Amino acid sequence: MFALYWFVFNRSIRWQNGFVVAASYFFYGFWDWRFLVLLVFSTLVDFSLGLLIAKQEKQKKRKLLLLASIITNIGLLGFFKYYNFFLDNFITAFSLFGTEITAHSLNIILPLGISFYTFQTLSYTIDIYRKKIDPSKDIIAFSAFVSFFPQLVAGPIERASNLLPQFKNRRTFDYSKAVDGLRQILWGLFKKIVIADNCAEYANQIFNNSADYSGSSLLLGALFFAFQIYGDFSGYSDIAIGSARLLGIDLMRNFAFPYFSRDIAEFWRRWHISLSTWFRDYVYIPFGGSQGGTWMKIRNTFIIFLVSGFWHGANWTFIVWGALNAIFFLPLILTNSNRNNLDIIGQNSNLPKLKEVLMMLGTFLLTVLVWIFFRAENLTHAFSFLVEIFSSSLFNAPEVFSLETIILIVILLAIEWMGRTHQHALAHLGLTWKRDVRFIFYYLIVFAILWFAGEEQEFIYFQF
Amino acid sequence: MKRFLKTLLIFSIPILIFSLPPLKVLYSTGELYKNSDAVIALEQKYLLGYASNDDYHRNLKWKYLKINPQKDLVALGSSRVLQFRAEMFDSSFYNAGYIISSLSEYVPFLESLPKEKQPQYLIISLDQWLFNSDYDSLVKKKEKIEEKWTVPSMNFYPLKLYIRIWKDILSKTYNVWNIEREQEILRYGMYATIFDYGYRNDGSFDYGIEIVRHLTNDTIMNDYNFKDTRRKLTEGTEFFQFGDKVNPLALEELDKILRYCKDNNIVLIGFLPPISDKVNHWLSTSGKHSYIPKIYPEALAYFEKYNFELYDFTHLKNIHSSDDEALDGYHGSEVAYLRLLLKMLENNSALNKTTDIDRLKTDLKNRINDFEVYGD
Repeated sequence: MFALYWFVFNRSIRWQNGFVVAASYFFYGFWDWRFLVLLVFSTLVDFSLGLLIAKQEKQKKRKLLLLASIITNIGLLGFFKYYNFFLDNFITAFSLFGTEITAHSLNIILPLGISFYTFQTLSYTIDIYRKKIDPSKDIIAFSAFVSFFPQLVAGPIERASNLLPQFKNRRTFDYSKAVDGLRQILWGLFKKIVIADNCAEYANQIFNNSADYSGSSLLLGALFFAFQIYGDFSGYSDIAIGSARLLGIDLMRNFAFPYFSRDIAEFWRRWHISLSTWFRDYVYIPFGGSQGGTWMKIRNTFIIFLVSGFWHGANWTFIVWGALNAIFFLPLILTNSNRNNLDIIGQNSNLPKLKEVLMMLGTFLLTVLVWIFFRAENLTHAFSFLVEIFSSSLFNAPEVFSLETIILIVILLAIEWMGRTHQHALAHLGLTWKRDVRFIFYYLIVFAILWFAGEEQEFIYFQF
Repeated sequence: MKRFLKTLLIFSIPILIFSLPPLKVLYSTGELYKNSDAVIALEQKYLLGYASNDDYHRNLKWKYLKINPQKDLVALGSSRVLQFRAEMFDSSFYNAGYIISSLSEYVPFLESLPKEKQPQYLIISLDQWLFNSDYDSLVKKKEKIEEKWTVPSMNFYPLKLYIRIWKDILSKTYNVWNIEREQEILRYGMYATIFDYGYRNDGSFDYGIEIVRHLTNDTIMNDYNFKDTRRKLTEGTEFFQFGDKVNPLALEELDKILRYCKDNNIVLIGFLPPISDKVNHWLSTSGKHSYIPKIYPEALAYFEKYNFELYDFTHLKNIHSSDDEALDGYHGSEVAYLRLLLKMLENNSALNKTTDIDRLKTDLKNRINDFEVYGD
């Protein structure tokens, strides 16, 4: 791919973009070619609507065209992701009033990456409507923007204002960017193969058989899941961003060392940044953002967290997960301290202060407890899991323990701590370490990937 | 660009050198070949033993039973039925061993097969620890049990094998550049190709290198002098959790198995599989596994209720065998299993309709060694 992109298709930007589209469609179709139709449909609809919105001067018609884009994208998402959820809940709701309804759930497969690319194309038409960007007249460049393979199935959810211009301008090969891309890919592989896949083994064992374990094991299971999802998702993002950089494309940052956050607001500025900012720009701000006083801020915070929870999946567990995050936000909003920690922790020192350590630990523990809802099969499972954690069995010796995995997590945290002021954990190495030492370090990471590789697990965010 | 390619090349050379021998081994041993449908359809003799996946056989065996014509006789259970061979029977036989790890899995396994593919005779192993609630609480698990065999396990992790292969290369265990897969028996996987270790066409297991190690008294064999089993039973871990009573839930599950077989006209033959004499001695002197001798009398009542056979082969001496015929602390060899089958037949087992006792006695007499009767 790299060689063809730079050596064969580099004659014109159209050829290069065409090659990106072909490769992306091949990659997507390799999973299930039938759903390529949806991707192409979404691309064509938003491409056409984008042009029509820009051409239209009457506000009412512009609004209607935007509505058509929203209905098409959300309609697709709603059908494939939420149809059965709404059906089941309607049936349950009616049965509460004594009315029995019989309806058949559909055996629907969730198309890979649909939550990501529909949000990406939606941002395009909304930004045109807001006159923030001009519509693309180049269908190939636009298709490349929608389907760009490194981030198509699990993000980062790109904005047209960042990615589209890159497909319109000629790319030149940048040595430093490409080398840093490789570094980021290497670190992403470590996070996925070593951290996430090893943690997954224990997290799955404990969550799938939670009734068999004491509170201490369950807490450990939640902790392993916290690192599984971090390693899995941020690892994927690193691989995607690194791969894009090899092709001369800069994707937006998706994770910024979230487990070093000092409060929950900071955590959400550092976790899944592309989705958080999407909700901020297209949901929170249109609803009034923080302009209308405390109560409006609280209302809007709840709206974006509930919608964010629902975006993750058609299950009440995700909605409660979102609601709990919003609740944790409340004290910060009420004390107007949600923007207290905008700097990087311990920016001018090697180690954090005791107060910072305690704040980090507190925030981390809150997120660990909330992850239980994210991972649990249903609400009953999540609540019984939590009840057992807060029982006396929390003080029993855990039945499941893996010192090796815990050491690997500590190594991950140490390396991330050293690189916390940069775009990714290994970015600073190119600036500060000598080449020989750097190479030894990279080989050690490769060796760790081979030695400690966990059992292969699918990326968690592929299911969203 | 030139600078980048040069850096990339310099960085990659050691990785390529490091990866080349493992890749050669993985490729030439068929470790990366995962087409179970093609394997099932093979007429030729094969041996299937992946080093990177210990679960692959479950789906393969289930599919085999589902696709092929009905077998008269099936052995179902843990790894402790794997020594039954098709050669031991005159009726058609398949070994579905190492699929079951809980008493609650027998019925779902049988139910997952079409009715017309269920066997007439079913031999099941009742591993002693399945009756210990500290080993298997029998609390309903969240995952669907049947997915253990209906969904293919694609959890191959060949990356981990890189280091292992290098260790083998450095210890000169085999010659990387001289691996032959296309032998008289077609082999799939590193274990099968290099160590003769894997599943045969009839589902039984060839212990290959382990038997050679036994015959040469090689100390690197698994469980040398039953040391590993002793550690487990002393620590109360991995099958040997402590217990003093038979789990009533286990007996309920047993009842479900027996009822299912009765209702579906399957003749069931159950047995408590052998444990080595030394290990039996340690178990009885430790006093921490006192549930084991209680299993047979309690389980027998259930078998009698449904008029099925149950045999207690916990002690090798019950089948005129000894530790010389044990593969490890809790796995008897093929020879021990032939003796065990003969013992059943001598007790007028229903299995007499599926085989010839005199032929089996001759087979035993003509065995290859203390571990093998029929060879590959």
